[in-house]
Formats: sequence, structure tokens, C-alpha cells
Amino acid sequence: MQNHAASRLPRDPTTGRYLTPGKLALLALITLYTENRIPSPSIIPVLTFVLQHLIANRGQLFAHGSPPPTVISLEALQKLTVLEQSAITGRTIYDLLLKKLWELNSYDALHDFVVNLETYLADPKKAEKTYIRSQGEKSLFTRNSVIGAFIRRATLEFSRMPFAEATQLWQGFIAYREPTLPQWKKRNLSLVHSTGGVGPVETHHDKFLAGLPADHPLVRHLYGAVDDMKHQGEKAHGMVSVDDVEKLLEFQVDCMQRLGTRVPEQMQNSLKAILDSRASKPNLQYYVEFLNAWRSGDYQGSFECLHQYFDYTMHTRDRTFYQYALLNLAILQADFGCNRESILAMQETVNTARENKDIACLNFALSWLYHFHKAHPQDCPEVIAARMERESLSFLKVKAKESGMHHLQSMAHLSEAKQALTNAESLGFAFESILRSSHLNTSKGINNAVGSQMVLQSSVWTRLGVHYAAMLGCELFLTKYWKNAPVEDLVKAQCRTAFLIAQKGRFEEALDKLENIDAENLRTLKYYQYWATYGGLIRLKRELFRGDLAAAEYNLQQLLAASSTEPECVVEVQLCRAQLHMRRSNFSEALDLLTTLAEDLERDKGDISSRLRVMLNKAQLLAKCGRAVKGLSVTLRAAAIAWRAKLLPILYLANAVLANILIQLHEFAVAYALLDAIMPQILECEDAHLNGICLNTLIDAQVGMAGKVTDDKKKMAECMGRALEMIDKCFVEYGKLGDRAAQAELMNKKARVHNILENMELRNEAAATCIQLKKGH
Amino acid sequence: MKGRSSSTALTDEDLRLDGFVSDDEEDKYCLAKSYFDVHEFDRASRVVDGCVSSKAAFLCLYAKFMAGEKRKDEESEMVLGPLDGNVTANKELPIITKKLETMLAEKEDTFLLYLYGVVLLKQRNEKQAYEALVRSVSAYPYNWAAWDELKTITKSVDDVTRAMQDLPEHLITHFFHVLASQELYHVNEHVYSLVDQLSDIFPGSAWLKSQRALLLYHLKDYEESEKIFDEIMQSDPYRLDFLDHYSNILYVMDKRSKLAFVAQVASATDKFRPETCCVIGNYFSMRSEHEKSIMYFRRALNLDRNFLSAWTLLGHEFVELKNTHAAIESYRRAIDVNRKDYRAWYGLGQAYEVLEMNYYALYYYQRAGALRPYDSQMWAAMAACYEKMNRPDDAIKSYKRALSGNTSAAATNQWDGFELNTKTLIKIAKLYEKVRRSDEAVHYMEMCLKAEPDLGPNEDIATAKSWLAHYEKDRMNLGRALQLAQELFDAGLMVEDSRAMVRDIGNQLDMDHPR
Repeated sequence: MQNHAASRLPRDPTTGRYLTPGKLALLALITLYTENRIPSPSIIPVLTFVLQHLIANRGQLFAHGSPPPTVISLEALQKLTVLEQSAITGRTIYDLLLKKLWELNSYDALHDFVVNLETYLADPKKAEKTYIRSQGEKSLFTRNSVIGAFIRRATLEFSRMPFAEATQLWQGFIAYREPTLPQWKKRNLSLVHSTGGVGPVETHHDKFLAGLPADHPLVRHLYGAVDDMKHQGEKAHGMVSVDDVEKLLEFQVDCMQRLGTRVPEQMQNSLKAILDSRASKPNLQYYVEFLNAWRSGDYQGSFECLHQYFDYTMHTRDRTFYQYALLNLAILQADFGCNRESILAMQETVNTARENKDIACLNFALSWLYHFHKAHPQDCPEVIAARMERESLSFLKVKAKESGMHHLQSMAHLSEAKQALTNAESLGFAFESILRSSHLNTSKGINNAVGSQMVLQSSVWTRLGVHYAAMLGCELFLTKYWKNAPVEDLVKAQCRTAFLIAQKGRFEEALDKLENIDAENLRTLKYYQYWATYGGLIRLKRELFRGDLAAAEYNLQQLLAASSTEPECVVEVQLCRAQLHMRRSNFSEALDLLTTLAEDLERDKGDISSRLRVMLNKAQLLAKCGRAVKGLSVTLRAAAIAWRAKLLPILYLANAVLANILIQLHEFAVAYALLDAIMPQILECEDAHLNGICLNTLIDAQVGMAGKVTDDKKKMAECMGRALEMIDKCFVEYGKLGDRAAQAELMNKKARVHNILENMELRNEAAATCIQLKKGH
Repeated sequence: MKGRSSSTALTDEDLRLDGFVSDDEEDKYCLAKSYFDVHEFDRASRVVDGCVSSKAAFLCLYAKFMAGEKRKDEESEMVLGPLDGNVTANKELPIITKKLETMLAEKEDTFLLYLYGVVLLKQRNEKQAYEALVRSVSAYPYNWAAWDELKTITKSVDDVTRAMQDLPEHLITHFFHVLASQELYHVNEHVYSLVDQLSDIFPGSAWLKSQRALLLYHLKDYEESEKIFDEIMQSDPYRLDFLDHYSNILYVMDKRSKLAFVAQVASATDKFRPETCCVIGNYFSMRSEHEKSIMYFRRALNLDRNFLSAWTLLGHEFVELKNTHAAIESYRRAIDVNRKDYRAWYGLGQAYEVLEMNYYALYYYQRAGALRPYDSQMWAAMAACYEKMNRPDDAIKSYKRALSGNTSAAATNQWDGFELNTKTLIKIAKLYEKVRRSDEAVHYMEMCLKAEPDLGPNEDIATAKSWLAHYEKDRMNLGRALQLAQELFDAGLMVEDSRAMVRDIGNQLDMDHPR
């Protein structure tokens, strides 16, 4: 989300060097192309290579995580051209390139070379006419083509260079091409032989030094010693201009802001080496350092770097960018948990942005405040909370549309949908909003918003109990749209998938899935915490079901200790905590916990589904204590709300709880009818725990029904048969969860049923299984 | 420059005059010298104020002088800025002069005399300065700084010859003679033999070599001069002295890439020496990047306001950019620095000629011609001025002078020899025609034709032939006229004209001798 603020960061007007020896070699290659020395089949690879180096900074050509190539090494050029035949028979393009490079035999020749580049550009006055190229003529570039612009920039930068810098470039160039001397010599010796000797081949670097020994004082004075030259040759290959460094830094910032990742360590090191070798540091570097420190969770370091950056850029960007500094500070503070401080900073941002009439910044700040309010309602002062009602969202929507901030508009639509869902409002409205957002994403090509939209869509499907569609949504996003998505969305989608898998009872698979997440994505502390929370949660659930209470307690403590930021996770963890209490038969504690949780959610206007789940948990707790009827009104209310909000899995759970209450009231047939009718939908939810509960209730209902018809043996047997059938199914479901206690209970029931049906052998078998399960084998 | 030469003076002094500081002033002197070395001139001067021993006294005044120079530099404006001029002066000068006079009256000291000369020279009191300096070098000839100052006083060959009589017979005097003659473009056998003799004594001296090269340059023997400079550069790559002259030579020889190379060497040695800046400026000028070249010349002047060649070259660049007024100012400043630079005089003349202020131009050409009496270029320019001012007789004289200059230079130099010759000849002829002296005109036109075997047909010769053909035709010498016209036609020059003439003469011949 921070990218909007960042895309406004202006380029530093550092007047650094643009030209490097590598760029000169690239220019030489371009001139070869212009002079039609490159035959048609080789044009595409050569031009691809050239373009890769010219438009690298646009980022589009490069896959996620690979830096733009800054150094144009001779090896790369050689690899590209050494196998390609040129238009001159018997010579490869590489030979011609070497010739071009070695033809520059003095500084003046280099000067000529650069100045003459202008002749490769089409004359704008003649550009009107269609240009038909005749044989042997140069093919010209238009002035505004990519290569044309490159040539113009190169000549401009060269003419801007003071003489001393230009000679440095020349010396760098000499060192750069030095390694090709043997190849050039060899190639030209053969040329000498074949043409019968054209005289000694000029191989010295500078024609004015020809004939002087390499250790002549004049040679040493100009180009250093021979050994130095070799060393410099290596250095010159790594020679990068300020422009290149800025490109690299911009790439890093882009990576970190758009995708939210940190740059791989190896690249960080190489960049550091480059920056260390230079006297002048581009200011953007501090920003990169800030981002890096931020992502790695170094609070103090990131503050220091951010201030450093804004101090150094003060003179170039004025106070107009004060709001961006504040914005960054606010986000930073929020990330480190200083919520109140962050709110204050953001308010300041809003005020400053208003003063400066910076609509983009204002909108972004408001949107951020809105989200922050949603996430941490307890930290928001009343003023803000009041402002952050529905109106602010629609305001934001309108403003975003007005100022053409499509990304923000799309996000606002999503927020609207989310709000509708949490407040149990019309599902249709939510769908409409998602669709609007999706439309915007598609028509305006907002790649990095697709993730949020699909994850939200998936959560809507979960709420509707269409588990398969929910899975599919996440999978689709992860396989097809991952390229330009922010890492945050990627991690979220992956965690959600794992969680959905865990619901089916396939804990190991879910954990595997989490383990296999790309380590690059977890480089940022925040996402790592998110990911770790989900892992812990899944493990906690598994242990709870398996009855490994000690391990569960340990896991729970860990989760509670971590300050997990996601409200949904908090609720989930608290519910698990209640479960643990229940398993330990600490019913009163569980009840207390649930009550406070319900109050908290009420106060913060939390997600409706969480609130319903707490209510139902309470009802279940009461049922466990044998006072199921007490939960009747709660259950009924939950069911009514769930129905209205179309929270189907919760509705089903409510029905199961209700049926259980009915069973307590000896209304077996009604209870059975209530659940039996919705069983197909329940199975569709693919929630093993829900299935287990429902089937268990059905068993109880059938057995109860059988109890009512004890006089009619046939009917009773029929009911018992159904009960047995369902016991087996239920056994499988609990088996998935690894819930041995529940399985043992089922076997107990089975044994009793068989006892009633007087199937002694089967009864004994079931009893034995029960005992075995209880023993824990 | 001043700082450097002064410090050499001090070290020399250190070597020879150890006993010239009394023991009680030794400490003070050392302290002051240290201050002086870190460029805290005022402080140094204060420390040794009132000292009587000659070394300390000299240091006191010299430091004061340097402090004044420093302040003067700080007060002066940007080079060629709106307020830039020679208005700022060293405010310490009157005080120093007064003190020096009292001290010299008591006791004559060679270094104080030198300083006295410098101060007087700054106040443009050249006669007294000359005497003081001559006395100083007579007492102690190894103070080259004094010779350097003396050099600026000798403004003509006569001055030099007079000075040679006043000066002591000493080795250094010969060096001085070579330098002074070289700067005055006064090249003769005597100077050459002097250089040869000195070279025998100091075979490795790069200074002597560069003097020889410069002498050759003045004789327009560019190749030889270039060779010598090449040698110097190879034997001492870090030497920057006179490299700006070398770059001028390369400029004239149109050797651009060599010039680039020299610039590279200079820039590698020291980017911030006026010589380096001049070389680079020349290079950019040659690449027709005049704005850049002006930038470098300005930098040279910022580094040393008295750097002569930079002023002149800056003027040339302004001429290229058609900024005549700036050019005039630059040339003027060059002349103010050193009145011996004929290029600046000539440049001024050119600038005024562009502005069509011929009388002014004439004056400056005359000054240039006085410095280079054998340079035909000066005389030709002067003649052109006369021509424009409608003074044909003077113009003819000047042109003739230009011709004679040429013939003397022709032996060594093929540059503009004959080509200029033919042009000049035609100009003279046309001027004679104007003053109605056809016989002279014919004479010069015929002279022009004589150059044909050497040069082949060219425009000037064609003009001459055409003129002669017309002349002969008018004199009814039709045979010659026809022959000339036919030649002209065959050479493919002035085709229309010559064809018409051939036809015309043919008709006349037919009329005269009808078949």
C-alpha cells in the first residue's frame, strides 16, 4: 500500500556520470547495427540485448527479484556476438565489434566517435518523408526511439563532461577493452597473413604512445603500470555510473515498496560494494537503507535512516514533501506497534496534505487511517472513530475517482465489501463491490490489487460454505497472478489455503504447505510473524484435537506471547484457548474467557462471524455442562443472524447446536429432521469438525428415536442401523482430525447400540477398540 | 607564480645567507617563516616586525607584500565580470615602499632591492624598478625571480641590448638574454648560438629545450618545434611549463588528436594549472566547442590573472563567437599584462576591423607589425586597412612590405608563401590600376603569372590572366589576348567570361583580316 507515497518520490538531480566503458561498447554495437553490418537473423538477439540494458529500469522485462543488469561486461557481449556471422563473410559480429573498439586509438578518436553518433539519428526535418533505405546506407534511428534517445543522452552526457572526467572515461575504456587485446591481435595477425602483410598491426592503446615501452614514465603517468592495468580492467568491468547506481536503488525501492519484500542478501552486498567505491552517494540510498531496516524490524535504524534521507533531500524537495515524510513515519510507527503515536503522525499528514492541496497524499492517508481504525479500533481517539464511519469510505471512493487514483478506488470498493460482510449486511452488495473492484483492476490494469480482491472473494466463498470455490480462488491467485502481487497478499493467500486444508483435518498437508512458502517472502518481519501465527494456530488445533494438551498449552503460550496484529487470528487463538479449557474441564474459566471475548468484539464492532462463533461456543459449553437448554436463546439468535448474513457454515453449526438442545429436550425426531435436511450442504463445507459434530448429533437423535419406539422392534432396529451407519461415518471424520477421545466415545456408543441389538461379538469388538483408543494406541 | 618564485628565493637565501640572522632574531625568524609557509602572511610579517637582520627584514616586508597581493586577489571581481578591471591595487605598496627606501638608504641589500623593484614595478615606475633590479642581480645573479621581473621591463629589442650593457657578465645573464629575445620574437644567429652554448653546459635542461622550441615556433618551423616538445614530454611527463605554447603549435599544425593527447597528459598531471586549462581550451576550440573552450580559458584566468596566453586565446574564442566587444576587452587585458604579445595586438586590430573602425584597427596592426616586422600577415592586414581608408599609396607600400616579408620567410615555410603572394600581387596590381599606373599594374600581374608553374592554375592566376587579356585586348594586342583567353578557357576557369572573350577577339580578328 505504501507504493503510492513512494511513486511520488522525485529523482534526485545528482549530475553524475552516465557513460561507462560498457555503455561505449554498447554504442559501438549499435553503430554496427546502423551500418547494416548485422545480418537479419542476428538482429533480434542483438537488439534484445541492447534493449535489455536500456529499458531495464522499467522493471517489466525482469522477473520478480532479479536486479536490472547494470554492468555491460565484455564477456556478455562476446557471448552474444561471437557466434553470429556478420554481413562480411568470414567475420563474426564480435570481430567487427573488436575492430570498432580498437579503432578508437586516442582520446580524440573517442571524442569523434561520440560526437559522430548524432549522424546516426534521422533528421527531424526529413522525418516527414517516408524513408527508403538504399544499399549500403546507414539505417537511421528516429530521435525519440529508445535507441535514439539513448544515443542523444549519451552525446549530451559526454558534452556535459569536464575534460578531466572525459579522460577518466577514456582510461576506463582502455582498461575495459584491455582483456581483448590477445584476441584482437590474433585475429589481425591472421588478417595480415591472408592479405600479404599490411605492416605491423597497431596494438597499443593510444597511438601517441606507440613505440614506447610499457614502463616508460609517460605511459605510466597516463595509464599506470601494466599490472595496474590488469587490475583496473577488472575494476572497469564493474564500473558503474551514478545513473546505474540510481537505477539499482530505484529497483530496490520498487521491490521493497511494491512487493514489500527485502532485497536478497547477495544483491545487498554487491550494491554496498558499488556504493562504497564511490565518493558521492545518491540520496536514495538512505531511503533504501530505511526500507531495509524497516522490513527487518530494526526500529531505531529505520528511524535514523528515514530522518537522514529527508534531511539530505530537504533542499531538493522543499517542504512540499513534508507530508510524505510524515506519512512514512506514521506507517513506520504503526508497524512497530506505536499505534497512538502513529495516529497522531497520520493526522498531521492529513492536515499538511490538506494545506498543500496534495490530493493523492490526502486520499492515501485517509484510506490508511480507515484501515487502521478497522484494525485497531481501541487505539483510535473518538474523533477519528467518529469520522471513520461509512461516510468516510464513500467520500474516499468519490475522491479517488475524481483524482483518478484507480488503485485506491479499487481498494475502497474492497473495503466496502469487507465492511458489508463484517456488519452482516447484504451479501449482494458485497458481491457488487467486489465486482466493481475487479472491473477496475481489469480495465485499468492494476496488477497489484488483484491479490486482495481474490483473497477477499475467497473469504466470501468460505462464508457461504463453498469450500471448493474458496480454495480455487486462492489457488488461482497463487498460480496465475503472483508475479506482480505484493508479498503481503501472497503470504495471506498461502496461509488461507493452508488454513482451509487444515479445516479438512489434513493438518500435515497444511503445515507442509506453509513450510514450502518461498523464503524470500518471509524476509520481512511483519509477514514472517503473520506466517508464524498461522503455523502456530494450525499446530495448536491439531494438538487440541489429538488431545495433546501439554503441547497445545505450549503452543498457545507462544501464540499469546506474540503480538499478532490480525484480529481474525486473535479471535481464533482465543477460541482455541477456550477449547483447551473445555478439554481440561475448566468450564467456568472457559465461560469467563468467552464472555470477555464477546464483550471485546461487541465494543470493537468486530466481525460478525467471529461474534457468532463465540456465541455458539458458549452454547456448546453450556451443553457440555449439561445445561444445554440455557443456550437455546443464544443459539436461536446466532442462527437468525447467521441466516440473515448468509454465514452458512455458522448457520449449520447453530443448527447442530440447536438439534443437540432439542435432543436434550427429547425432541429426537425434530432434531433429526432439522439436521438431516441440511446434511448435504454441511458436507459441502468440508469442515471435518463440523461434520463430526453434526453426525454425532444425528446419532444421538437416531438413538433417541429408537428409544421412543422400543415396542416396535423393527423400527428400532432401523433407527439403530442408521445410527450405526452414521457412527462409522462420524468415526472417519474424527479420524481425520485425529481426535481419539471423540473416536473412543463413538466406539462406546457403538458398543452400547450393539448391546441393545444384542450383537455380542460386534459389541465386544467395539468395546475393545474403545479401550484401545482410550489407551492411546 | 609569485609565491613559488619567492619561496625559491628564500631557499636560495637559506643556503647562502645563513649568517644573516642574528641569534636573538633566529627564533622569531623561524616562527615567521613557518607562518609564511602556511600562507599566514600578516601574522608572519607582524612577528618579524622591527627586526634588523636582513633576512628577517626581508621576510617582514615580503610577507606584507604577499598579504596585500592576496587581499587584492580576493577583492577583484569575476574574470570579465561587470566590475572586473585593473582598479584594485595592492594597498600595502606605499607602506612597503617607504620602509624600503629608508632601509636601502642605510644599507644596500640584494633581496631588498629585488623587492623594491617588484614594488616599483607594481606602481608602474619602470625606470626606477629597472635600476633597482639591475642592482639586485648584479649583487646576486642567482635570484631568477629578479630576472623574471626584469624581463617584463624590457619591451623591445633595443631595451634588451641596452640592458645587456648594464648587466653583469654572468651565466645567468645569458639565460636572461635568451628568454628576453624569445619573448620579443627576436630570433637571430646570436641567440641561437647562445642557446647552443648553454645547452653544452646544461645538456639536460628542459627549459633550454623549450626555449629552443619556442624560437623555432616563432620562425614558423613547427615540425622541429613539435619534435623538441615531444622529447621534453617523454623525458619529463609531469612537466607542464610551456605546454600551452606547445598546444598552440599543434593548433596551428591542425593536429587535433595529438592536441587531445597533450591535454590528456596535462590533465592527468594537474587539472588546476593555467597551462592545463589553456591546453584543454585550445582542444575544445579546435573541436569548435567554443563555449567550453571559453570556460577553460576563464578557469585558467581564475587561477592566474596574469596568464598571458589565456587572455589572448579567450579573445580569439570571443571572435569566433562573434562577441567582438568581449574579444576586444580580452585582448586589451592581454596587452595590459604583457605588451609583447603581437597576437593580442593583431586580434585587437581584427576586432576593430570587424566593427569597421579602420583607423583604430590600423593603429593596432601597426603595433603588431612593430613586434613582428617580418611577418607578412601583419603588413597585409595593415595594407587592407589602408585600402579601406582609401589610401592606396600607403596600401601599396604595405603590400610590398608584406611581399618582402614573405620572400624572407618562404625559405623555411611553405604555409602561406605563394598563395599569399599571388593574392598580394593582384591586390597591388589592382591598386596601381586604381591610381592609374597601368604599367606597374601590368608588371605585377605578369609577376603573378610567373607563379603558375609552381602553383598550377588557380583563381588568382585566372584573375590575372583575365585582367591581362582584357588589357591586351584594349591595347589591341589581340594575339596575346587570344592566347591568354584560350589558356583560361582550356583550364576551365572563368568559363563564361573566357569563352565570350575568345569569341569576341575572334570576331575582331576576322574583322581586321577579312578572308
